[in-house]
Amino acid sequence: MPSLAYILASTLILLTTAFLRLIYILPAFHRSRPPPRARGTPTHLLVVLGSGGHTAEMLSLLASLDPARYTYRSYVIGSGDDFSAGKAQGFERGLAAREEEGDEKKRRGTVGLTGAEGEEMTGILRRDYSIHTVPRARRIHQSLLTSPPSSLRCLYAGLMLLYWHPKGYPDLILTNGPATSLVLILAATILRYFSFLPLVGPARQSVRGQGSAGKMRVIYVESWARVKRPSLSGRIIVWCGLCDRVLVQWKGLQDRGWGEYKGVLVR
Amino acid sequence: MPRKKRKSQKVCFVTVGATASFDSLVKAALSPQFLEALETHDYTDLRLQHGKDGQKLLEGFRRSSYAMSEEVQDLSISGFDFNKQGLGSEMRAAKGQGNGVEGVVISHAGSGSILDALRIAVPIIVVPNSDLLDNHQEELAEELAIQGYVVHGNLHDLPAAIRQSESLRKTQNPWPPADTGEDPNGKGLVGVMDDEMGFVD
Repeated sequence: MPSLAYILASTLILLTTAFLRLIYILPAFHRSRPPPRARGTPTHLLVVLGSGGHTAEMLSLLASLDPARYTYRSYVIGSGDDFSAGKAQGFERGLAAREEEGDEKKRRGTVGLTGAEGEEMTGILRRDYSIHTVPRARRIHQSLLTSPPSSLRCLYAGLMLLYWHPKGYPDLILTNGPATSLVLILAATILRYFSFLPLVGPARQSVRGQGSAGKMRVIYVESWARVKRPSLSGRIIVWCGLCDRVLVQWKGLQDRGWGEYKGVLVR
Repeated sequence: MPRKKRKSQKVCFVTVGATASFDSLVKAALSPQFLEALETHDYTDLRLQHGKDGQKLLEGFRRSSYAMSEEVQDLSISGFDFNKQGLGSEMRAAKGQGNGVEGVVISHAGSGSILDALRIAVPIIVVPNSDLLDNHQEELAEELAIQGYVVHGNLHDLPAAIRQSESLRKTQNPWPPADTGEDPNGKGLVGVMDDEMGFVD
């Protein structure tokens, strides 16, 4: 029988280690520079879309995205959000058109859609993006009593999505704060936390050679509609220290010590 | 009011957005004072995106004796619930593209509609919905008005906002703003993304 002191000591050591690990992986405590990356390297960008307003603003933020740099794009939407799915497809069509205008190289591929429900696609299909649906963290008007189980379902879906993504962990997660994004960022943080464990599946390949420190960096962009006070999701994400960069779109917010102001980002 | 010769089309487009109803804005837009102000400033069309609940208000207005009166005969008033394809064609009509003159957009303070109007540079009156709990829209409207992009409208005095919009038409600042904060390259979000990705060039 181990003595009480022994149990206490090991628990303390375990807790301390767990805590130090948390501090090590949380961007707020541990700002690390990303490893340099050569032009043309395959990359994976994950964009969390939300309900109408969030989605429209996010796609407007990405208006000047260069698909030659961000070679693969994953879009995550809440289940039933056909509006966002349609907008993401429209955005990708725009990218494709722009790219074809630029150079004559036409990349043809098979359907890259996973998880999009009942989507029938025709014509030239590109394989360098995918749309993923996750159960909603919380529906509008859903009571707080039933929201923890649905948040857990959403979290589980987020973990599975990130871990088993055919392209491996995303290099970058971009969000402007719908409820789904909170859960997805939490999922990314959990995976960062346990990244010392051996990996199986596609995630293994993507992490090898560069260390997962360079993976799943999170950029949070506060909505343009937020002039003086950050939104609730923004506050939660920042207080929990979950993101690497926080961008705001009004100087007043930066003056209040909130995020970086680099001009209006919506176009 | 004496009948003038055929005026060129000038559209006032009022939008309440898709998420919440904003009946008080629809009511204000159908009030005699407001319609009179539209007539004074040579408007020919009032187009309402009124949402689900606004339909009843518009029908009620149509049945009213005022709607039949001589005063508003020159004004063509129409409305619709919402268009999922976006409000682009209404915005362009308000801009006067086609064969009209530039009118005005009156918007609940939804950022999407404000940005749409700023992009095509049509004067916009922003009327925040004070019934909504989290009223950050008031701050947005205020700041945009200070910076000379919009008229911050008051629900109880839309005629004044219409007058102000006529002067905004001459002075409205171009969008997007040139100020890029502490970002000398002005690369905005893409610059930060490249940075976080480790792209070094």
